Amino acid sequence: MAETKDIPKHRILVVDDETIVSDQIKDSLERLGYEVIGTANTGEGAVQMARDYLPDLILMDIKMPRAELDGISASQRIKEELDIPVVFITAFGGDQIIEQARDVEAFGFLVKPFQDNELRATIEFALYRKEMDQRLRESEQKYRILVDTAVEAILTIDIHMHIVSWNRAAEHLFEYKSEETTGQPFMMIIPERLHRELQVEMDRMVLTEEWDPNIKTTQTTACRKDGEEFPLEFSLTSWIFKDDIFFTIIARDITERKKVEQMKTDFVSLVSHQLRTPVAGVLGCIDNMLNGITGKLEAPQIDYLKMMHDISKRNYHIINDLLNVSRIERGVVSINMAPVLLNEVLQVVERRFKDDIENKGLKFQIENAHPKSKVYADKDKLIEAVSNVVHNAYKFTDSGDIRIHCKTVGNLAFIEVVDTGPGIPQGEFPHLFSRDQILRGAPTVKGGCGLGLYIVREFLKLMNAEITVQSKVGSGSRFTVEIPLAGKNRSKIKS
Amino acid sequence: MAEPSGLKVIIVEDEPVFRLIYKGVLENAGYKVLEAEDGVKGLEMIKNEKPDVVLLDLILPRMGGYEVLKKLREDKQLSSIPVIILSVLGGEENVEKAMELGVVHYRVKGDSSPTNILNTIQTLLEEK
Repeated sequence: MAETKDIPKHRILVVDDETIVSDQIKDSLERLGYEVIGTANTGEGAVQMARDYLPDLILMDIKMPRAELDGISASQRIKEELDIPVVFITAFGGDQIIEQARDVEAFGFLVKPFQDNELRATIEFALYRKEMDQRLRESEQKYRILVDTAVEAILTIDIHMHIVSWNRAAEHLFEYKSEETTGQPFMMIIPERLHRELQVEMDRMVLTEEWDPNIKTTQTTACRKDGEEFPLEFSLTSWIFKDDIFFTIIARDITERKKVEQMKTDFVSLVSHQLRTPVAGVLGCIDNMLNGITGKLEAPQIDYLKMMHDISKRNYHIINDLLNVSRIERGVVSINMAPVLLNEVLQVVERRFKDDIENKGLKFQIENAHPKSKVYADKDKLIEAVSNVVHNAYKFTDSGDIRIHCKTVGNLAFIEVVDTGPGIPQGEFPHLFSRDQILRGAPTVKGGCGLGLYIVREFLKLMNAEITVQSKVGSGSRFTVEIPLAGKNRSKIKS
Repeated sequence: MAEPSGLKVIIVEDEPVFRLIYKGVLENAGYKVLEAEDGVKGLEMIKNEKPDVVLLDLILPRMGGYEVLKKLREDKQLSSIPVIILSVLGGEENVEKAMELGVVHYRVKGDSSPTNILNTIQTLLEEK
């Protein structure tokens, strides 16, 4: 900033108990282009004039033996009351005095006698520092306003998970005042039963290095001061300040969003039920016709009806898949765990697929190395899962055979479904069991909605079982369901 | 195999297509089939006709399937008539609820073919 005459002069108050000195300083200041708004010769006088005239800067003598308030005490009072920078002038530059000056956060220090240029440099430096302080404070204020007026709850916590700051939206959301939370554990807003689970989740969020908003965001249940619980989504990011690690949490109430999601799944469920009715009706009609109930059919009529039957059956599968996914997403899949004879599961699967597979010219073989083995599972869901895997093998295999091979190893049963189909490219493996198959237009979606294996995985997960795949393009696929045997490791299964 | 002629089946079902299908397969096998398109009519018909088997849908106008079941169980003269549920709804909770009300079989339309239903009825009546 260039100093020109147009710029308003800085207004300075001079305080010295010796009038000769203060007059000299006043002259120097005016020579240098400052405006002296007055002089005081006591600490009390200085405070009063500072109050009355609000100068830009005060030049203050430290030692004023005749006054009630010396320079240090007067500065202290001015600092508390007014926001005016003080520069001390003293004849003694002793350590003690320098220390006292520092304690009252003086903006400068001049040892008498001094030259005009020293005076000017000290004053300019003090005014510059004052302006910097002001800017810093304003920027801090702006930040505070930003945080405080944010719609979303913003809180910071330290490495020990204690709350450091808590904005106004957080006060509103959790109904705790900021002062009630500072220093308290973050988990105070989470129901106790979820503490451990959430801690694990938060550790994961912190440890991940990827800057992916999805990874840095999670959902949980929070509780307000009055104990009311609500679904909460929050993001968690870490930062380091002077060697200490802090976390910023931005949280929002997602009750409304959850409601909409629920409505969507309910809608899917309702529509699926309503779609099932006509498809089941058409299937029944065709069944009756093919069974001769409507009279004898000619060969071409049978071909047409069989085609209609296939299509209806496929539609029926797709609707079932959508229904199952809707149930999985809503978390309403009921699982009734009991010891299940593996052979019974295999029999049902055989009955369902034997005709279709053999009609396609494929061989269908089922081997069970331990016919008496029982698994701990939900029978219907296991049948559904194995059926889905076999159904895939059936859809993709045009020649050769489909084999189901069962064996037990240790506490586990392995159900392998092996086909001689085209095989699956390695690149598809990560997506096979995901629910976004349909969106990707994946080559592995054929005559279905691509949700079959997702359902398999989800059903198996609920039974403490899992599925893996081995496959190579050109040499078929092998899907292996791994499921605990009954009676051997029940404790592991308890959910 | 039991001789079906003369054996009476009541279908309580609001969807005409399912009445057509089950009536078709049952009449073809020699059963006498009566139809009701809502729960109230169905209950009335069961009281008057005392059928050998009832095929009952769950979602019905005027009176739902579960309500019909409860009323049948409360009536000593009717409580022994075997009921097979035919619903488009699967789901364990529905099956369990129906079984608690004394249903002998629960079949999901579309999962079970008409022939399958026919076999179920025949087996049931043979056991009787």
